[in-house]
Amino acid sequence: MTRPEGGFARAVLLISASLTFSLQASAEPQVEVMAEVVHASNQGSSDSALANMKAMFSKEGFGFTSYRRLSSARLALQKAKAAEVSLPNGKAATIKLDELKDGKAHLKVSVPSGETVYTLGREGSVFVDAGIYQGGSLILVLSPVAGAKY
Amino acid sequence: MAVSPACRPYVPQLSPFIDGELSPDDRVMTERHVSSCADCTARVADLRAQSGLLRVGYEMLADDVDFRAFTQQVMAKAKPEPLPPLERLPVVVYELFTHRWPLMVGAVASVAVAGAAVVGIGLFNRTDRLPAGYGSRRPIIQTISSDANSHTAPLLLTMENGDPIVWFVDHIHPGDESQGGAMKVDSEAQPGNKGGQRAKGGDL
Repeated sequence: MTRPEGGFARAVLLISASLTFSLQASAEPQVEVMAEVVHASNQGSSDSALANMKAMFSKEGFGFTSYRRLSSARLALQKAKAAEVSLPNGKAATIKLDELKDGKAHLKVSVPSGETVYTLGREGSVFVDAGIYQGGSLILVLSPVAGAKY
Repeated sequence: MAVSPACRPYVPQLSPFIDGELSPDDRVMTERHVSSCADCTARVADLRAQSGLLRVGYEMLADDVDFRAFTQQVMAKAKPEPLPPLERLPVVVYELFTHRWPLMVGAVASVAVAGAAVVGIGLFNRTDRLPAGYGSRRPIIQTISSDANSHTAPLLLTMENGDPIVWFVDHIHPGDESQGGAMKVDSEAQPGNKGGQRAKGGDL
């Protein structure tokens, strides 16, 4: 079987073109963040991985005895598109890149009860009350992606 | 047949003479002797007849052997001796660039593109390069607002490690239940900063 000699060159051109397009696509400002939904309640046991969260919340006066992670997602946020996190109570939280200035991202987090705008940080997490569920509370935990932790 | 003294030096030369193996000088000397010696002429005739018989005999033996696959059998056993690597490399390179140059050009271009992509990805993922948007060390709450219909008030707590908690607590103004609350914080959450009200314990 013979193949046209130009086939290989065309393949190289296609690869180069696709790389160029992907680089152009990545030029759109994009911020990544980890979003977890935790159910805090007084029923059942806690996830061992959330023991620190439970202790810290307890120090702030929260009496929940059970902290369970319900979902976790890595979100890629862009200005034009809000990311939605489904909540088990049938509602949803939305996270949107509000502004990206001087390398600092401002995220707008909307939950059923209200909204907050915060500046993204490399350390620590933001905990947002996302409503009630099965006698407890849903907590939206926004954390830096793995590569951003130092 | 007795050998005369005159023939003695030439008798050992007769067989090579017949086979054409003598030097030109020896051949001339032998020819002169044979032409003048009847005994040696007879010896030459005997040797030629003997040689002819041998040739016929060998040809008869050869006729009984099947040589049709002889060439293929020999060539099948013949294997090219591999060249040493240092001598083989220039030959291979020459053949590739002479007879398969489109393939080589494509391969070189592919390697170049792949190398550039690897270098680009490596530069993009350098550990000392911050991911987009992470210019701030810690998260900073800028504003909090509650939905007017949720009858809640925003509450900002700061944990010991500085992580902020945004909470919404029931908040009903007597006679003005439809108003939601709002906070403008705009300050970095620091450990020990208990901005806002504290939760009073228990499940909120």
